[in-house]
Amino acid sequence: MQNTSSTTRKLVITAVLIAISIVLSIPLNMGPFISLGFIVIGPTIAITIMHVPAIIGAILEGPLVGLVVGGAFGIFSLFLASQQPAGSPNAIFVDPFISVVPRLFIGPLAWAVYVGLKALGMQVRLISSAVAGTLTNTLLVIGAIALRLNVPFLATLASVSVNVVLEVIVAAVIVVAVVSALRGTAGGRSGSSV
Amino acid sequence: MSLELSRNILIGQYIPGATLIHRLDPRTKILCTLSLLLAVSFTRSLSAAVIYLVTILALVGLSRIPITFVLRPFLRGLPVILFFLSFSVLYLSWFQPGGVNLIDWGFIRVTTDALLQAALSLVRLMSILLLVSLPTLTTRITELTHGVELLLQPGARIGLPAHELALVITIALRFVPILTEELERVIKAQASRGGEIGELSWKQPRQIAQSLLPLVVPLFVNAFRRAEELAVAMEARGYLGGRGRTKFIQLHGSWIDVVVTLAMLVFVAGIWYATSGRLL
Repeated sequence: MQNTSSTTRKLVITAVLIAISIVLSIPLNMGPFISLGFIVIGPTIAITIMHVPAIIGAILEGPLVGLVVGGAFGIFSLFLASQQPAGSPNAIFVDPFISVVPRLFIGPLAWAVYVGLKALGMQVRLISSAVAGTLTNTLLVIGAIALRLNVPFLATLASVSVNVVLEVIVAAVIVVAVVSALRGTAGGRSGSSV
Repeated sequence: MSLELSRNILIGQYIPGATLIHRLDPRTKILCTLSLLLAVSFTRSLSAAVIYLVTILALVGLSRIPITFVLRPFLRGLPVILFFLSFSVLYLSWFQPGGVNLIDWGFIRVTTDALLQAALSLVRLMSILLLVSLPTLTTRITELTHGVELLLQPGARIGLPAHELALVITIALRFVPILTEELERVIKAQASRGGEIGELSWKQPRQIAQSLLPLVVPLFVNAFRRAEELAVAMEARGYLGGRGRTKFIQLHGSWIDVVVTLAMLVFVAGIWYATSGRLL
């Protein structure tokens, strides 16, 4: 599946990953799952996996796909903030410099880490890539909030420190599981696909 | 626990109408929105921001969209925004003193400059919110897609993938209901095997993590399988990219579109020029 990456394939996979980002944000209201991409795991803590499609796109199809998927995720989070908030009141995300610009970097950075660690084992590369992508998302968004609303960066970062750790762990688990599953099924067509 | 996820999708909310705003060419709407968006995002002057906000409110009024409908998310998010802003007022008053000290209790200090900055942030957020809602509320999503493609067309000469971007948007929007249905099926499959997705509380983080993977992994794997099938089908039908393709839907702008676009650009630039370099 890696060698025959045609333009059509890349286009369609980009589109599908964008669709997944959108589906991840559909309100579910099932216990802790506000939506599949937004999960409550503490009295005041909610974590997100909405940036994961961008990381997976970057790992499987390269930095450009990651960039486009990340950008689409940003635009969609802007759109959601402007409609009715799916979970938390996230109206500050209507500012494109908070919602879109930081998200463009998730894919390219995750890809750079994935390619840069070529010497290491596949699991390590996938985990590091997921960590890099997640941290890019958090740090740049917090940075943008600090810049646009004139609040101190470190204090804002401290207020989400628990989220960051949990998001990194969850993102790493999902990226490893999904990429392994895709690499496993797409090549040999062995086993069930559902 | 409701399993009909498709009811919860709110993408592409479009309120039909026959107002001037509705009838404008999507390209006009995109260009006007972008110029206002850039101006309102970067202006450092409160009066300019207020003038832009009034203009945007007038546009919303012209489109006959109920103002309460567009402002609801802003009002709901207001407590959080005000929390951030009060934080920012205290911070700015302390580290960038300027203007008159309104309150000075040692540690806590509030200056007029900081308050003006906070007001600017507030007006800016409200304007941006209205601006990003307006085009989608008054334009069908397919029209917007065509508008984007046509606007990016000149950039195609220098390698900008206009057609490809429009195609990606269309396919993504088409896939949302399909994947939603698939997710619904996976959730039902898990529930039928005793998965307690809806009954978990946040006090069971391990169980939450355990129930997340069986939902997310099939979502990705199924989506990729469908993507691969679609790519093969497209190539089998001779899809070769954007070059030489013709379109079924043609957009026809009129002279009104040209006038509106030019007037908006002149207006935005004029206000920007008149207020640059001033905070108030």
